[in-house]
Amino acid sequence: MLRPSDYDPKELRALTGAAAPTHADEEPDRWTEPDDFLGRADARVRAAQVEDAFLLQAAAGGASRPYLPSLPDSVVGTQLVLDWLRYLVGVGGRERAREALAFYRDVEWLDESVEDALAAYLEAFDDTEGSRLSVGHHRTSLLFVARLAALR
Amino acid sequence: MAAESESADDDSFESSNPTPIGVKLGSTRTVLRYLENADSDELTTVRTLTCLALYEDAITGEEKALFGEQAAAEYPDRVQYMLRSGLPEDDERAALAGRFFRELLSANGVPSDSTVVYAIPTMDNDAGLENLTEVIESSNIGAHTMRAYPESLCGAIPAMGDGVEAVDDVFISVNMGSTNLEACAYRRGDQLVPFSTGSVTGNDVDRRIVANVEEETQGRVHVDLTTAREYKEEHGNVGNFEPFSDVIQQPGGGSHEFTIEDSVVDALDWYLDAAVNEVANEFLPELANDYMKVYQLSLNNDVAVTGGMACIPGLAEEFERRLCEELDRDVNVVVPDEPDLAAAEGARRIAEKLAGQ
Repeated sequence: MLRPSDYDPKELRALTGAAAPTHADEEPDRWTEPDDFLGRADARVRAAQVEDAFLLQAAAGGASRPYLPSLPDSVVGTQLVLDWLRYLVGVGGRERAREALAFYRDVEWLDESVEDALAAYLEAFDDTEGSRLSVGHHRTSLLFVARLAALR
Repeated sequence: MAAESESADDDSFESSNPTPIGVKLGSTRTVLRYLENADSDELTTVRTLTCLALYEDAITGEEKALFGEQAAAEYPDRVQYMLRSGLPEDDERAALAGRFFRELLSANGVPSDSTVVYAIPTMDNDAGLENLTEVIESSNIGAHTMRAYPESLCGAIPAMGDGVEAVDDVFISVNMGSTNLEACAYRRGDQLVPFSTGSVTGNDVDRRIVANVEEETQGRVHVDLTTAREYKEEHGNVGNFEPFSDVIQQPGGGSHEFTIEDSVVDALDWYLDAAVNEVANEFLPELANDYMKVYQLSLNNDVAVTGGMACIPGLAEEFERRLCEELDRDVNVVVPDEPDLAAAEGARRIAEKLAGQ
């Protein structure tokens, strides 16, 4: 069957002499851009994401503290955890990320066991200079918490 | 040329390359683009309404077929637009579409030794795609190679440059068709987050024009969808619209002349708001969610707008203005020279590469 979405991008690139997507086109930095640098258009997008996440959470039976009593046991969940930690380390460096996780446990976003597991993951990331985490960054973290809770 | 290539002793390299052909089987119009012969740069464009009328020959009793504008003009009562929803929905429409396509190819002498690329809308409709595949495979073109690519990619190719530069770029393409609004991001040939909606279409504009005309003339005039489409195509203009008059025959004799001032403009205004809303608040958040970096890169690049609706003067410019306003940032919209032919032209350029490989 001639399905347009099944075309072969490699063949197309070979035919047209186009370069393959480079590492720079990939998405490793997708969560590391601080909210402060985002324009209103991007903030609107982020607001839609937050809304989505809370809808998902509502669908999962509402929110009770700690919001994230355990980590989801799935590939998607693990990927999301790594995205989140990459974001925190990218913005604030490893030490501030660790402090943020402790803070999230204090305000009962995370269970203690989750904090421990996440802190262990942090060791895998290269440390960065980073800067202080702001309210906007914590808001994004809450978005990750909500998504992870919805995936459980 | 055929005679030359048959001469056995001729050791010159006769061009035996298949003819590259780009095809868009659209719900309203079908477009074919190809070079008449390999030695000239003259492009042949076949552009016709996607419709077929069957009739009986008065002398032989044989069933005959007319297609395109002639069918629509001579048999308005029985002409059938078999791709109204974008793809042939059932066996009957598939058979009609197959007949239409074969008649079209034979009437224009389209070469069968060809490499054909079809620009096909991205639709989640396996049965329809299956039927369309049958239509395509029952034709005698594409003997050498056949491929299908998304219409939004093919349409963007002529918008982004004179060659196939678009394949090596990161950009967003918006295809404003009769039966759907398609938006998609492309990253160096990879299709990301294909989005399609059937709720903001050129056909919806036609339907609104029908209702608006009735309202504007206080119920005295009722136009059909074909007339509404003609009003849109002939008089539609965003920002520089001029009221126009038409005449209808009254039942029982006499004629009634009426002037259209708002019906077309209001329908286009609705379309623009709805299209901007779909792109800004449905497609782009999804893209940002999955590919934040591509979202940022592609909005800094040109946004290609194609399809029949983009032919309306001023529409793409107004789309750009409203999209900038909605996103509160600069966005640059580019439109190919002939937006309704762009998908077929983009498909032809890919076919040219395929034929030459």
